[in-house]
Amino acid sequence: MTKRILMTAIIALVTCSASALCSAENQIPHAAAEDYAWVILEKGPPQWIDITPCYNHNQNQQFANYQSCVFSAREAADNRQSRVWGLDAKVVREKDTLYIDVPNRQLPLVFKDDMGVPDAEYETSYMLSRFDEPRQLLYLTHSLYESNSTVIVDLNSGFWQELWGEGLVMSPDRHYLAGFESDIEANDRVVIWKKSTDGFDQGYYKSIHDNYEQYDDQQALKERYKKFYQADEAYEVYNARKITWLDNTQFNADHFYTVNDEDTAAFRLRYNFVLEQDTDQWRMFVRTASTN
Amino acid sequence: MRPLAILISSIFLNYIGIAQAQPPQAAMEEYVWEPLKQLKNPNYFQSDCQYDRLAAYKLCLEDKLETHDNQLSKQWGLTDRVIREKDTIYIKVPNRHKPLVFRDEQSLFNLPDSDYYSLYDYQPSQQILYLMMSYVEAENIVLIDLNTGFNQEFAGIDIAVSPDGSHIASVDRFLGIENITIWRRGLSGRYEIDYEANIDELIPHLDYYNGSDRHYAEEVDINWLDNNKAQLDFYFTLNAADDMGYRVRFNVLKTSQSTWQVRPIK
Repeated sequence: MTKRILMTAIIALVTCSASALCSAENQIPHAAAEDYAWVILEKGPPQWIDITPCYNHNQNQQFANYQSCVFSAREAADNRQSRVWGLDAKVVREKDTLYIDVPNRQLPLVFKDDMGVPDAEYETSYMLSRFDEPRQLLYLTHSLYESNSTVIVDLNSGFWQELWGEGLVMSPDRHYLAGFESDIEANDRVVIWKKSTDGFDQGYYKSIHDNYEQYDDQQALKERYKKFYQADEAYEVYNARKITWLDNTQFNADHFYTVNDEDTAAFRLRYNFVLEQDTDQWRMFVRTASTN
Repeated sequence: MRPLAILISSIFLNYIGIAQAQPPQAAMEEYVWEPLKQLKNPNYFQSDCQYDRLAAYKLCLEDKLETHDNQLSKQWGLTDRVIREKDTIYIKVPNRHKPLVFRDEQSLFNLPDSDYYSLYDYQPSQQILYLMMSYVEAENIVLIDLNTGFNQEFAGIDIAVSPDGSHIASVDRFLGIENITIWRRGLSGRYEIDYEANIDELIPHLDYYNGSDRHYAEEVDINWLDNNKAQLDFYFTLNAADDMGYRVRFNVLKTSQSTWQVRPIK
């Protein structure tokens, strides 16, 4: 495909918003080989703790055994991770509880699993998920009933907040947090939180959910972009989704798809979010590998 | 004309029906009155923090809870075992290196609807500590055995453990009906429901004192008379602001068949 045809495709992709012609699938051209960016999927830290071996206990009504089985699995995983990050003096799990030493408390800041006793149906749990060492920001994943939320803990100050969404990453100037909606129904949405400078939640991050019209436009563009890459026929690797801040007013939200379920290499769909200074709103753009 | 006639006669008949079925009402001298203030647990924590700013609200609540809880811990001689700092209660128990903790919840959406714990009661003979969990529309009790570290949450704030620890009698008055539950301790230490009173068994006795109006109990007082018999006293008021309440008493006792039975006591 020549550059010129590709540009036509991109123009069709971004300009047909709200046009009736675009609703027909065959109007969207497919990406050429050079448009794809491929990456080898890295095996990062586990995204969840495997507790399936503990299920036997539960079926046998031995709830106490199930509980201690689950707790030792989580204890081992979190304490291993804490050691890898060199945090074992500060961050320790014992049984159902994560203990984190922070400067503004004499006793540790704690996060405790809820076993949803007695039937374990509404179990919720915490897990160490990421550590931003230069900024001493610790991220925990809080597994709720059908979705995840993120806890950020600033080890330098003891500030912490639990926020809706997963894979949240803080902007360099700490004014924003961007991540992914973890609701199964809406899992390709990007969520953005902004630090409040006044009002009730001053000092805490507040979700930006105010512009639904723009949001619908973004979803429509995403759908066309996915069709362009034929991503609907591929498998999304949810654990690989990634937010990368380019500067304080720009970040990439990358999604990865494999052609076959078990592939270790995936192609990337990149959404670029830019903060418009004059309107103070985030705009979403799409790119292809050859225009990046 | 005809439907109206039926309507009128049916209202008339209903009226007669009610009048005939009117249950006997307690006489004045049958009422036992108690000052409600003395029945209320003096350790009950009530927040009066203002929802102006999230940080200020949290600070206010944490400060008040810290004072409340650490004062009680001192009063009960538990300062080396039970401490609150900010939003967390830390309890030393033998089955953990690190303390057993209860942290107040912080809303995911920065709303001032946080759930929080407070120290509620302590039984030194049984080494049982009770925390109250305050939710937006309910209050629960967490029972903690300081000897073992065992803990369990119960709906409602009215619970009492039998002298031998084998059973718990509880009432969840926030459900709107005076549902009496007896729990039995299982092998794992957890209490499981052993018996729930049928509301129909309670209503005639409640109506005897309350008339046909349904009331919420203002206070509930549960006492085990021995390991097989619990006495449950419900206190009602005539007017919302009254500080004197009258008592309606039930016993729950173990029958010879080892099942539980509720019995109205006059």
